[in-house]
Amino acid sequence: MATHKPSPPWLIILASFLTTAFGACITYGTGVTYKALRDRYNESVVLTSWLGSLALAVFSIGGPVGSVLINISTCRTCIVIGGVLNLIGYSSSYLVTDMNFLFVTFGVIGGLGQSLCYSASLVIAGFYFEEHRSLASGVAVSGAGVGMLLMPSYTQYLIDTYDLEGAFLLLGATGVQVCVFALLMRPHPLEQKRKLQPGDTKISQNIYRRSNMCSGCLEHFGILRNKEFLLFLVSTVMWHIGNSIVLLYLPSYFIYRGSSFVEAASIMLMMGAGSIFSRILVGFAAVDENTGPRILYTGILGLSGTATCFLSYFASTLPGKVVYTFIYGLYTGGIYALFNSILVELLGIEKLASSFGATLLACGVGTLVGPPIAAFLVVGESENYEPTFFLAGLCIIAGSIFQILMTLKCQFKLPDVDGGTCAGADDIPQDNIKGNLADLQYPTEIQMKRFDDC
Amino acid sequence: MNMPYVFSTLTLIICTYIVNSVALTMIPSQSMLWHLEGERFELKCRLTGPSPTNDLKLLKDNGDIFTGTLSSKTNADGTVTTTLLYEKSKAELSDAGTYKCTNNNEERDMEVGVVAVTPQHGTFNPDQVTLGCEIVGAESKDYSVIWMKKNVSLTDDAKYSISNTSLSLSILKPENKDGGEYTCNFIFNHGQRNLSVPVNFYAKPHAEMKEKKSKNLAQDSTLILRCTTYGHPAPNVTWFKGDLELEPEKDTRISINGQYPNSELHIVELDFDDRGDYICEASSGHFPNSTMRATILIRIKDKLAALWPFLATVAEVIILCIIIFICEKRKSKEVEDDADGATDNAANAQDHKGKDEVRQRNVRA
Repeated sequence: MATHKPSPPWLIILASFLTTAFGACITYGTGVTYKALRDRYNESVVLTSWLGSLALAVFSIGGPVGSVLINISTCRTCIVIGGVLNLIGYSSSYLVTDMNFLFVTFGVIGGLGQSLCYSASLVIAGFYFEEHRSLASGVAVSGAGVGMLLMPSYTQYLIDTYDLEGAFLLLGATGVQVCVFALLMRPHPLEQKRKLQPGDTKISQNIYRRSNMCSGCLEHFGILRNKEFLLFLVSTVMWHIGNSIVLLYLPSYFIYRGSSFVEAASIMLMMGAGSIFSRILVGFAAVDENTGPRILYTGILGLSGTATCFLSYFASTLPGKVVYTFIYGLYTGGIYALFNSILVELLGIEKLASSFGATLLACGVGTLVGPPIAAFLVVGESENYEPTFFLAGLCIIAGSIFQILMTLKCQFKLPDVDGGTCAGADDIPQDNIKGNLADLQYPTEIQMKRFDDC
Repeated sequence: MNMPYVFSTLTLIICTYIVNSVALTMIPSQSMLWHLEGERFELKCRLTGPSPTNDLKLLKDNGDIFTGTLSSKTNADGTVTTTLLYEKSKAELSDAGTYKCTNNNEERDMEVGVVAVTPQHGTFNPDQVTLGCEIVGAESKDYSVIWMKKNVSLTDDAKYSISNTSLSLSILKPENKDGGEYTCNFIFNHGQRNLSVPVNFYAKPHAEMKEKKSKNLAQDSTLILRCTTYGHPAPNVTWFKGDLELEPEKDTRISINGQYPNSELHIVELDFDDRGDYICEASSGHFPNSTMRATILIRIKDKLAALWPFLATVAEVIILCIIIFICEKRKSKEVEDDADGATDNAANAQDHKGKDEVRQRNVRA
C-alpha cells in the first residue's frame, strides 16, 4: 500500500462539509415524505411515523458500525460504502409498492448509508486538524445544518415534480454524490500509520487486517473501560433525552400558547438557521485554549437546560418565543462541533473512530427514549406541557452536570495506558503526532497492544 | 298525658281526608304556564268527590267563561273524578292571563303566558354579523337567554358579544365558516319551560383545496383531491374537469366521496388524457349568484420521467470517480518513480564513489 500525500486541508473541509450536507441529511426530509406516504399508502399514523423513527434508530446504531469500518479500512472507504448504500437504499424505494418494504430500503439501508457518511466525514476532519480541530469539526457539522435546512424543500420539490417514487430515485442519486467527495479526501498519514507496519509485506498485511478487525471490535468495549468516557456517554444520553423532547413538542406548545401554525413553523426554521451559525462559531470559540471545548460544552448545556426550564415565561410573548428558539438552536447546534475535540482529549486520536461511533449511538439512544417518556407525561396530564419541558430542561442540565463530573475526575486522574489521558490538548499523544510523522515507534506500541487485545 | 297531642293529630288526619276527598285541582299544576304562539294549549280542571258534578267552571281574569268537555270517572275507592277539559289547537297571544277553576266552593288559579319569538337571521359581513330573537308576550324579568351554536354555549368574549337584553348576539370579524345555525334559548323563571329557537347565519358557499396551483402525477398512479366547503345553508358540491362535470356513473375510474363539508375525488389509473384543470364547485340555492370554485391543474408525467435525471447523475458520479482515481494513480506513480529514481541515484553514487573523480575529469575534458 503506497503512502499517500495528504490532501490540502481546505479540500478536506470542503469535501467534509459537502459529504454531511449531501449524504447524511436525507432523513431530515422525512417530515415531507411522511405526508406524501400517508396520501399514497393510507396506512395508519403510527406505522408511517415509525419509518422516521426507524431511520433515526439505524442512524445511531450505524455509528459503531461505521467505527468498525473506519478501523478496518479508511474513512474514505467508509464514505464510499455509505454513498453506495444511499444509492441502493433510496433508489430501490422507487420500485417498492408495499409500504412495509420501505422499512428495509428507506429505513435500514438508507439510514445505514447516512450514518456511515456522517461518522466518517467527521472523523476524517478530526484526523486532519490537530490544531483547529473544533473549528474544522464545526464547519463539517454545519454541513448537516445546511442539509437540515434545505433537504425538506428539496424533497418537496422532487415529490411535486416527479411524484413519490421518482423523488426516492433521485434522492438516491443525490446521496451517491458523496463518493466523488470521498475520493478527494485522501487518508491522513495519521490514519495510515494505524495501518502500516515497518517493512510490511503482503502476509503481514493480511495478518494485520484480520487482527485489526477483531481488535476493532474489542476496541469498542475497550473504550468503555475509560470511566471519563462513560460519564461523557451518560451526559450525551441525558441531554439528548431533553433535546428530543424539546424538538418534538416545541411547535405544539407554541401553538398552544397562541401562535398560528405558520408562525410556529417559521420559528422552528430560525432554530435551524441559528444552529448552522453556531456550529461554526462554537468551533471557532473552542480553539481558544483558555476556554477549551469542555468548559464550552458544560456551559452550553447548562444554559440551554436552564432556559428550557423557564420556557413557560419565554413563551408568553412572540419575541420571547423567537429568542428562546434562536438561543436553543444556537447552543445545541454548536455542541456537535465539540465532539471531536473532547473525544480526542479523552481517548486519543487513534480511538476517535470507535469513540465517535459509540457517541453517535448514545445520541440515538437518548433521542429514542425521550419522546415516549414525554408522551407519558403529556398524555397522562392531558396537554400539560410545562412539567414536560421542565423535565427536559432538567435532563439537559443533568448532562451538563455529568460533564462537570467528568472534568473533575480528569483533573485528579493520572495519565494511564488504558485509553489516553484527558488532561488537555498539550499532552502525550498530540505531541508525538505533531512532532514526527515519520516516527513509527508510537504506532508500533499501539500495534502490540492490539495484538494483545486480540 | 298525650291526649291533646293525639286529639290534634287525629283531627289533622280527618281534615286531610275530608279535604282530599273533595279536591279541586288544575292540570298542569304549576303556578305559571308558558306557551309558544301556535302551540296546542290545554287546561284541565279536576274535581274529585263522592259524586259527579256539573258545577265546574273555567274563568279568565277578563271575565270570559270557557266551556269545555266534561267527563267523569269512578275511582277504585268509590269516589268520582270529574274533569273539565279546555283545549285550543293553536295558542294566541290574547290567550295569556290568569285562569280560574272554580266549583262554587273553591277556586284554583293559574297564570298562563303566551309568547311569540321571531328570529332575526343574519347574512355574512366581514365586520360584524348580528343575530337576534324578538320576543312578544313576556318581559325581561320573566326569562333569561342563552345563545348556543351546536350545543356549545356562547359567552361574551373576543369573538362574540351579547347585548344587555341578551336578545342579540353579535359575531365580531366573522369568517365564512362561522356560518350555520345558532339557537337562542329562553329559560323562563317560573313555569319550568325552555324554548329553543333556531337563528340562521347565512354564509355564501366557499370552496377551497389545500393544494398548490398545479400537481404532477405519474402515469398509472391515483389522483386524490380534497375539497373543503363552507356555507349556510350547506352548499352542493360538484366536480368538473374543464367544463365537463365528472360523473362516477359514467367512468368507473372516478369516485366521489362526501359532499359538505369535505368532498374527495378519486381517479385511479391515470393516463395522459387525464391532464387538465380540475374544479371543485360549491353552490347554494340561497345565494344563486355566488358559486365558488377552486381549481387545480393536474399534469401527468411519464412513468419513467425520473429515470433520465437519475441515470445522468449516476453516470456523472461514475465518470468523476474514474477521473479522480486515474489522476491519483498517476500522481502516486510519479511519487514512486521519483522515490525509486532517488534511491537508484544514491545507490549509483555510492557504487561509483571512487570512480567519480575519474568520471568527472573525463567529462570536464
